[in-house]
Amino acid sequence: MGDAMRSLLHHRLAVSSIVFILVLALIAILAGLINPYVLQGYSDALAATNQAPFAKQTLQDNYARPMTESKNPDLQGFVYYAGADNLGRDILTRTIYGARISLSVALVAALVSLIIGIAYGLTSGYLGGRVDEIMMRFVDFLYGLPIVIVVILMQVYFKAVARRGDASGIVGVILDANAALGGMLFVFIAIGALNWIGMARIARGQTLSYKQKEFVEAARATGSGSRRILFSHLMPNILGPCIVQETLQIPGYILLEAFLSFIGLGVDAPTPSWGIMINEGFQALRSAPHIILVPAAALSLTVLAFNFLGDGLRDAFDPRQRGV
Amino acid sequence: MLTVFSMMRALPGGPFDFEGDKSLAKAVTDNLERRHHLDWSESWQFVSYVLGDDVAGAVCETIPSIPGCDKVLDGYKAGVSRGVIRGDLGMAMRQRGRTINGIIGESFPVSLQLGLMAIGFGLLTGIPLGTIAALKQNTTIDYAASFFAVLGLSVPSLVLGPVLIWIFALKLGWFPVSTWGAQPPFFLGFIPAPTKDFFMHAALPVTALGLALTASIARLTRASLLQVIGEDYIRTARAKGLPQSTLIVRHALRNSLIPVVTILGPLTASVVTGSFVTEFVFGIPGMGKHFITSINNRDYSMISGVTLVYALLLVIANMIVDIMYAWLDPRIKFE
Repeated sequence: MGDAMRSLLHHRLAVSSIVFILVLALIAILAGLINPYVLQGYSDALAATNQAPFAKQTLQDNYARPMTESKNPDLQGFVYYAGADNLGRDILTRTIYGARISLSVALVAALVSLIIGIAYGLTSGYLGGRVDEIMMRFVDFLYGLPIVIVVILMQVYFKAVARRGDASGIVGVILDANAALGGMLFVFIAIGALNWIGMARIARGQTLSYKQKEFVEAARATGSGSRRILFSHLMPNILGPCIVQETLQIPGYILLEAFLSFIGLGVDAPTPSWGIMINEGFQALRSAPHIILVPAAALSLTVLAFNFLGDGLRDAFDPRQRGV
Repeated sequence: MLTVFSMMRALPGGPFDFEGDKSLAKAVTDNLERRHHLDWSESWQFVSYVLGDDVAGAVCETIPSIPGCDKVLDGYKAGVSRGVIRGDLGMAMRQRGRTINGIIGESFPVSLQLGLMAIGFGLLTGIPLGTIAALKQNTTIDYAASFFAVLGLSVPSLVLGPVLIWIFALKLGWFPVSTWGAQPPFFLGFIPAPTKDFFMHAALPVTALGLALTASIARLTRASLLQVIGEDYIRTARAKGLPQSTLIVRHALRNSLIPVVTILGPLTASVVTGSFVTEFVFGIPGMGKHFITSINNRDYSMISGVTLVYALLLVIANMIVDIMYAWLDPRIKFE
């Protein structure tokens, strides 16, 4: 572990990526306190309109160029550093709030995939025999499905259910939670639903190889129960490789969310996902090319950072694959 | 693979019945819904979708006591679907008077042209790039190529497409902004006439779609070539005095391409996903654009029809990859 840590820290790109991601996470968490409206001292004007910062529409300022001042009498002197979109919403504010969506998708999808995948793979690998075979057949079956298309169909279905909106009971609670998260819950479910299968395979493979090791044998000989072997002996060993693999998947999750939002199946407007913002910017590409600039750069840089981090982690923990 | 197919088919029954929220007169909506059998019970809709209206009607004529049959008897003669099983995907709900078969027949060749050209672009640029990076390992060229590869993986087509349009079509004016340069009829159903117009229109979308492929193919080629170069038989060949070019092309590259072939399956899936965005961004009248439009229009029969075609396509692509794999690597045999 110490070696791996040192190796990772030597990886200059990986370290810069970690710094970038941490700063971005900080910005995303503190979005309510450090968005341009607050920083430029316009939080009162904002509060008066009863609109969230990312949804603050100022129709006098639609398509405002970067670095121009607002024409709205209530926002006199407010500078749009990155310009405003077709509804006069500050693009910088929306991009900052958009980081929340992308990062929470990265975090939640990775956690869900990690938990389900490890639980599934560990069980399958540890039990072995017939159970293992059946469980892995099921994974093989899921592997044959085109994941993106399944995710799209799930989102089509979820959106249809949400639009009908007359559900009660447990479905109603889920719909309310989804609405409160701006449509993010369904994105989590859709992305998390199938992406654990790769992790399950890796966890199973790792479990199989460690199950044969002497220390497991020793633990069993000294009378440890299955639970103890699973959680204190196997789990700590397979966790590292699994986390490394999971980090490599994160760029895919972020891109999938942006893709879903871009085609209108992601989070609900006016929640500012980078995918939605890129779509809006694309619509006005000819007349107002600045709209797409900031969200597109934010998305690309974030994915780039996660890619570098994943590569760095893999190089650190698995030196044989270095430079691959 | 058949399960993929049936899994997809299980879906349309559910989302069919949410069409009623557009602001049309009640009578019009009722009429439309009756035309698409949205007044039938879900299971009968499913029967009609899979087997055809006439089958559903015939069953109900014989045994009218099955629940839901009154509606079926009411409307099956006005029906249009002959059922997926006979290759009819039904009528589009939001494009009046057009069959889904017609729409797909028109748009699929365009998507196929785009997808094949993107894969070709990825192979033709990715393999040389990866080879050069591997041969010049740990030089500036290698680092530049690797960095470019990570960059290509990180900039998705929904960013790359608009950026390419903005630079090369709007600012420089070298290429047309949108639409597709080929018109049917196509040779063999999908090969267009190689006109200048066609290539000018294709250049930007193919780059937007293919660059991510270039990146992943280059990374994989580099890694696997490095591994192969370390093998004993390469040392033998070199000791034998083979020239470097023969050594690389005939001995090393051929074996290092096996992993590249294996990822062509997943890459096809990513081309399909990328084509949704690329066709939408460039206004190309392909299947992906229809898919996105039908999602936004909530045209459920269209969504399920196009999904079926995509699922079939991916299954076929995976089969082709499996066959190529066995052909490239004789050690692998089908049991």
